[in-house]
Amino acid sequence: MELIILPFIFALIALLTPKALMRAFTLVAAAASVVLVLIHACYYYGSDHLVQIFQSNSNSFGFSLNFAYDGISLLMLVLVNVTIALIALANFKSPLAEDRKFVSMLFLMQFALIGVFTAFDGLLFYIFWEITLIPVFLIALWFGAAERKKILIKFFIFTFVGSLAMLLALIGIKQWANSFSYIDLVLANLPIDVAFYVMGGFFIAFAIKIPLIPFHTWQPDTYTVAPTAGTMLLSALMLKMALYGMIRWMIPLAPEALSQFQNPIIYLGIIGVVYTAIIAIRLKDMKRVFAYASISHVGLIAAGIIIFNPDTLGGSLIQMFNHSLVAVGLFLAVEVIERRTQLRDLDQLGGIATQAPKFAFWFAVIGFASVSVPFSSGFIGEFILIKGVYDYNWIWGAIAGLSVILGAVYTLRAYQLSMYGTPKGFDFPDLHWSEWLTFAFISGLVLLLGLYPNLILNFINPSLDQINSLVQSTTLLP
Amino acid sequence: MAIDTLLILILALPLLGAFINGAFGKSMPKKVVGSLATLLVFVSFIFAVTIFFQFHENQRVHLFSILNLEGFQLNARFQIDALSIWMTMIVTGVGSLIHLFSMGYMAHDKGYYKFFTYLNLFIFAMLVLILGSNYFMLFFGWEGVGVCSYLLIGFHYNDAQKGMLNGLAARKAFIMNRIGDLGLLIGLFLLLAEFGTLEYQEIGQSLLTKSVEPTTWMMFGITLMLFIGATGKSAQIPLFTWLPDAMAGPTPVSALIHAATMVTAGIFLVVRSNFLFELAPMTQDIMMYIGLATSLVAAFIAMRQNDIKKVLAYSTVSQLGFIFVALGMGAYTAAMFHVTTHAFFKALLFLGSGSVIHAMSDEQDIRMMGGLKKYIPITHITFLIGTLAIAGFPFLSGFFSKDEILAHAMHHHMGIYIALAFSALLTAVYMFRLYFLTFTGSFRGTEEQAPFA
Repeated sequence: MELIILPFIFALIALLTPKALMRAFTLVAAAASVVLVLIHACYYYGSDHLVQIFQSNSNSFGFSLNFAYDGISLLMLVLVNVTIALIALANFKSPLAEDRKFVSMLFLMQFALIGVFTAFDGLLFYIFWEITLIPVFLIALWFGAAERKKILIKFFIFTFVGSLAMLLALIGIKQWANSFSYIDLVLANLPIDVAFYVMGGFFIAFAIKIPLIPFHTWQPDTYTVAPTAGTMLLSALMLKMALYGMIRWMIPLAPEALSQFQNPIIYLGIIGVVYTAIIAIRLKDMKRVFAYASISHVGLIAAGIIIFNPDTLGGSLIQMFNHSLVAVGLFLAVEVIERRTQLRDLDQLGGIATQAPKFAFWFAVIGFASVSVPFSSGFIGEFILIKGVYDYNWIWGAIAGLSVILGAVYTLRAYQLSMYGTPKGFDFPDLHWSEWLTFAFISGLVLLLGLYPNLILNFINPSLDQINSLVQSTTLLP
Repeated sequence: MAIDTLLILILALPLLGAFINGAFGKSMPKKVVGSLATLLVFVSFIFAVTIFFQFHENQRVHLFSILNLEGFQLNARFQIDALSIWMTMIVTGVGSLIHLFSMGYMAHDKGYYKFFTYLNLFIFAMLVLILGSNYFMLFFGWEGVGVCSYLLIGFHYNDAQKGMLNGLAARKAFIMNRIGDLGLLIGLFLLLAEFGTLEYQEIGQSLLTKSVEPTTWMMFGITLMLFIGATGKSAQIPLFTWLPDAMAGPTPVSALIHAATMVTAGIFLVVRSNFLFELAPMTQDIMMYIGLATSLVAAFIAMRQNDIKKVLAYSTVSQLGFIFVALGMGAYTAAMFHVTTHAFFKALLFLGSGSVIHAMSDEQDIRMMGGLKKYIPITHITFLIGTLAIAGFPFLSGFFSKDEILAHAMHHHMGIYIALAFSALLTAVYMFRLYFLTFTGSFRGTEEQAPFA
C-alpha cells in the first residue's frame, strides 16, 4: 500500500515545504521511492504470482478498489520511480525545482502512474488514467512557453476523446461480465463483433496516447511548448501507460478481435517509424527533432506488442524501459543547451563541444544509445523487435529496419549541428553536478541492460507467459 | 596460462586501456597515456602469438548468455581457430605499431588522451568482431567499430576551417555503414529463421549433417544479405564513397582503421561464412563481378587524385575489390593472404604519408610537393618499399599474394584474369605516379612549406 500512498503524501508535503528545502526534499523523496520499489522488486524477483496490495469488496455497481502487481506491473513501477527520480535530478538546477506547485504535481503524477500500473479493476484503471492528465496539463499550463494555450486545448481534446472511447469500451464489456474486476473482464466471453468494438475503443485511447500516426498531431506541439520537465513526463512515462495498457488491458480483454487489429496496428506503427524519422531529419528545432524521434521509436514498440508472442513482448518491455531512459537523456540535453543559451534552433547553435567537453561526451553517449548501438539497451530491444516484425512479415520487417539508418541520420545531424564546429559566441558553462549525475545514471542503466537484458526478462517472463496463455486460450492464433 | 584465460585477457586489455585513459587520461602526462595504450595492445599481441603457437584444436569460451528468448538465444561466446587467431594477430600487431606511431604523430594534439581512448576502444570492438563465435558477437563488434570509426574520423570536429566538414565525413561513413548493417541484420534474421541459431559451429554442423536443408534461394538470400553488409564495411560498389571521405581523420586512423583492419571486416565475414557462400554460387558470381568492378573503378579514380591520402584511399578500395574477386572464386586462403600483406604495406604507406604531411606542414596536395627525398630520406625509403610491395614487385609480399589471386583467376576464367591483371597494372601506375610526384623532381610548394631536413 505504501507504494501507492507515499507519492501522494509527498505531493501534499511538497505544498508545505519552504522554498529553501524544496530541492533537497524532492531528491530525498524521489530517492526514497526508488529504494522502496527496489525492495519490492528484490522480494518479487523470479516469482510468478500476483501480489495483492489492497482489495475492497465490490459495490453494487461492480467497482472495487483492487490494487495488485505482477512482474510486468512491478517492472513499470520500477520504471516510474526511477524515471521520476531522474527527472527530479535532471531539473535540480532549473528554477522549477523550488516551485512547490511543480514539485507537488511531479509527485501527483507519480501517484497517478503507480495507480494506473497497479489497478486491477477496469474503472480504477480508467480513473487513474484520467488523473495523470491533471498534473501534466497543469505543468504545461503553468510553466509552458508563451504560445501554449491553443496547443494545450488541442492536447486536451485529443486525449479526452481517447479516454471517452476507452470508457465506452469498458462499459460495453461490462455488459458481458459480472464486475469491473480484471479477472471478470478477462474471462468475459465476448461475441466477435462486441470484441471488435471493445478493442477499437481501447485502441483509439491508446493510439492517441502512444501516439501512432495519424493520431499524433498533438504530440510534437505539446512536447515543444511544455517545459522540458513536462516533456520528459509525457514521453518517458505517460506514453508508457498506453503501451502497458495494450499488454494488460486491450489484448487480454478482447483477444477475439486481435487478428483483426494486428495488421492495421503494425502498419500504422511501422509507417510511423519511417515517416516521423524522415520528418525529424529536416527539422530545425532540437526539441521537435527528439519529439519526432520519440514517435519513431514507439511505433516499433506498438508493433511488437500487437504481434503478441513472448519474444516480442519481452523486447517491447526492454525497449519501453530503454525509451524512457533515453528520452529523459535527450530532452535533458536540449534543456542543458536551452538553460544556458535560450536557443534550440540548430542553425544558431554550434561549437558547444569545445566549450563544454563533459556535456559533449555525455550527449554523445546518450545520442549513440538512441541510435541503439551495441552495448546499449536499445540495441537489444530493437534487435528483438525488428526480428519479431520481420518474422511476422518480412517486407514490413525490412521497412522497420530502415529506422536503423534513419535514426542515425537525424540523431547525428542534431548532435553535430549543435556541438561541432567553432563556438558561436555564447557563453556555455559545462555541466552542473546534478546534470552530470543524471547523464551518468542513465548511461549506466542503458549499458547494464544492454549487456544483461536477462535482468528484465527474468523479471517479466512468468507474467508474460500467463498473459500469453490467457490470450492464446481464447483465440485461434498459432 | 590456459588458452581461455589468455583469450579473455586479449579482449580485456584494450578495454581496460580505453577505460583508464578515458576516465583519468586528462590528468595524466601524455607519455603515460600513450605508452599505456600502446603497451596494452602490444601485450594483447604477445598473448595472441602465444595462443597461435599453443593451440591445437578449435576452442570456444563461453562468457555469459546475453539474451534467452523462446525463439533464440544470444551468447557472449568466443572462439579460437586458425582464422580468428590469425586476424587477432594482424589487428593487435598492426594496431600496436600504429599506436606507437601515434604517440609521436599526435604529440601536439589537445585531445591526446581521447585519441588513445578511441583507438583502444576500436581495437576492443574489432577483437569482439573477430573472436566472437557467432554472428551476433560479430554484429556487436561490427557496429562497435562503426562507432569508433565515426568518432575518429570526426576527431578534429572543432577545427576552424574544416571542423564541420570532418563532422560530415564522419556522419557519411557512419550512415553508409548503417545501410550495409541493415543488410547484415536481415541476413542474421534469415539465418535465425532457417537454422534457429547464430553460432558458426552449429550452423556448419546442421549443414554438414543435412539436418537443415535450405533451398538454393534461401542460401542466395542469406549470402546476398551478408554480402551487402560486407560492401558497407569493406567499401565496395555501391557503398564505397565513404572511405575516401574518411581520410578527414588523423592519418594513423586512416592507416589503422581505413586500410589495415576495419575495412577487412567484410572480407572476414565472407571468409567466416565460406560454408554458406559455397552453397550459393550466384552470390559468389555477384561478389566476383562487384569486386572486379570496384577494383577497376577505384584504380581509375586513383590515377587522377591529387591528395596523397585520397590516392591511398582509392588504392585501398581497389585492393579490397581485388580480394573480393578472390573470395568470389572461392580462393579464401589467397584472400586472407592478401588481406595480411595489404594490412602491412598499406599501413606502412599511410604512416609514410602521415610523415610527409607533417613535414609539409599539413599540405596534402602532391602537386605542391616534389623532391622530398632530400628532406625526409627515411620516409622516402620506407615509402618506396611500400610502393614496390603494393605494385607487386618480386620478392616483396605483395608479389606473392597478388600472384596467388591472379593464378586462381587464370584457372577460373581467362577474361577475369586479364581484367584483374590490368587492375594490378593500374596499381603500379598510380602508385608510382604518387611516388615520383612526391619524392623526386624539384620542390614545387611555397617557401614556408619547405620541410627542414
